[in-house]
Amino acid sequence: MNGGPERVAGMTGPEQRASTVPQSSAGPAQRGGRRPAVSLRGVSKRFRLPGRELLALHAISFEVSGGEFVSVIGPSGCGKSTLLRLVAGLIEPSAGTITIAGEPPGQARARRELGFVFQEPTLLPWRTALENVTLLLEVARRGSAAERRERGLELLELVGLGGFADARPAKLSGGMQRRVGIARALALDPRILLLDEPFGALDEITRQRMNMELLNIWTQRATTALLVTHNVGEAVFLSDRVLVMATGPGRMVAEVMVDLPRPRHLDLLEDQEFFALSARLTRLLHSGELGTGEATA
Amino acid sequence: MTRRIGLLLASGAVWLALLGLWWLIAALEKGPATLWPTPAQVASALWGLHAAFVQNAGTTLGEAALGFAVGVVLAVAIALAGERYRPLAGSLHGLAIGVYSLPLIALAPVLVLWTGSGLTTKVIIAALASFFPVLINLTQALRTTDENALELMRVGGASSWQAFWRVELPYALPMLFAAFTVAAPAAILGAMLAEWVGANSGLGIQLLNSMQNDDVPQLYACLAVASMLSLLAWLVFTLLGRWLCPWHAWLRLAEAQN
Repeated sequence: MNGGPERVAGMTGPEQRASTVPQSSAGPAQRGGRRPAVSLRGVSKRFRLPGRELLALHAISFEVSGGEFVSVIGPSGCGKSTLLRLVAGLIEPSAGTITIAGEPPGQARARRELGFVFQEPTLLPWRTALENVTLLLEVARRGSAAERRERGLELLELVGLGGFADARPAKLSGGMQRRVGIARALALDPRILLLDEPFGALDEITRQRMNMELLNIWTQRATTALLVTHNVGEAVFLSDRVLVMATGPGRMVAEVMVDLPRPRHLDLLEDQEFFALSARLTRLLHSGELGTGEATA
Repeated sequence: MTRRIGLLLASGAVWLALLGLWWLIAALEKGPATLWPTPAQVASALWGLHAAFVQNAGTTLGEAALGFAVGVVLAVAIALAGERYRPLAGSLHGLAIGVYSLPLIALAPVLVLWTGSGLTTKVIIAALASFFPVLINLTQALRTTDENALELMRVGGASSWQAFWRVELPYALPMLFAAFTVAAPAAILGAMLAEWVGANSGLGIQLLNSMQNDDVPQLYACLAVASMLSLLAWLVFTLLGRWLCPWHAWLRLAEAQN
């Protein structure tokens, strides 16, 4: 069914790269486009700890095409969150280069092309749901107060929280808080959505429902998504492609294409192919743990 | 709600019991030097001298308020400067601790020599007494801001000022008000202490005078007024903090939920 895991990164995004168009004509502002939305080349990250150095990530290279949904799975401690922080430009790589649509992450951030969803909802407790969603619009001084409000309400509607605009985070359930977090990440209409185990703390049922909603949002808004998770089923359900990491040091060990048809629905979770892919990814995770296995990338 | 009323009644009962005990001891004390004036004697001293008490309390409160304001401004400035330019933090805090460890009771006479026994000495002593808790608490609060919230601001391309106003300051406010509840009574104490070295009016000087005149009921009345002022200062900032930062309670609620 699916090709082997050893496919070349970035070759089969939903938007095929047209090699006839000259490189320079694809402006960075052009959505999707031929230039990879995210590109990592030989990226390593060392942390200086008292008395020793920790190699958190070693020689990571991959690409994400515009409009693609890519997941990175790996055991805890493999540096997947660090990877996402590098892509967001929150930390600098020790070696290698990272580009967002051909630019360094800092520039993409300054142009507000990144949306980040954290492990914790990270809502400001003194702001209402609506005010949390419009926070970054205020920071970017985008639109008038009325326009921001309208946009915020629209986004809350999108994540199914239309009736909770004036609720404080403390009044919202864990799942609702995460929805606000997603709405907030979408507020600036980012090209790239970075998701750091956004549903890790939720129960399985809520997680599946949130995944379905995330998928709908991603389809509607045609953004590029890079998700980090340790949940194999979640990765398969959402992604076009799954990258498998191993720990000590954090490195890429495999890449698996997910050729399941879209649009996807929750009944996919009972599909044979879904099971087969999940099983294969689980095996890859374990073999990566042992330091053997189908190592590539 | 009924539980709250019960608690209120209980604490009221404790106070009444203490007052009763005081009265009992005072009644049993038959010595010529009345070390234990009865509550009634203290109350009558308070009432008889109420005009003087109002004036003196006003003076002390004014000095304390000015000193508190100066102390807070200083502490906030040092804390912010230290957090903005981290390398400075060490030396700024070292200096602050050095100044704080000067015994105020010894510093007061020196200040009187420098600036005379006017308002300046009291304001400086009150400021010194109040600035340290504010500095320590605010610094601590700024350093424990939710790291993710700050990263969120960075991802959104916020400037460090925007992050400060929208995230760091609101997060620090509850702790800042907690510091005020300690610093404000300290400022009152500082002002009274400074008055001992020389003053025309104020609770501290009234206390000193009544001690020298062996006027024990008045001494107790001074004590009562001074502690009332401190309690009032504490209450004002506690309520203000609760009113301005209701999210402090929400935050705990949210954490309990997750």
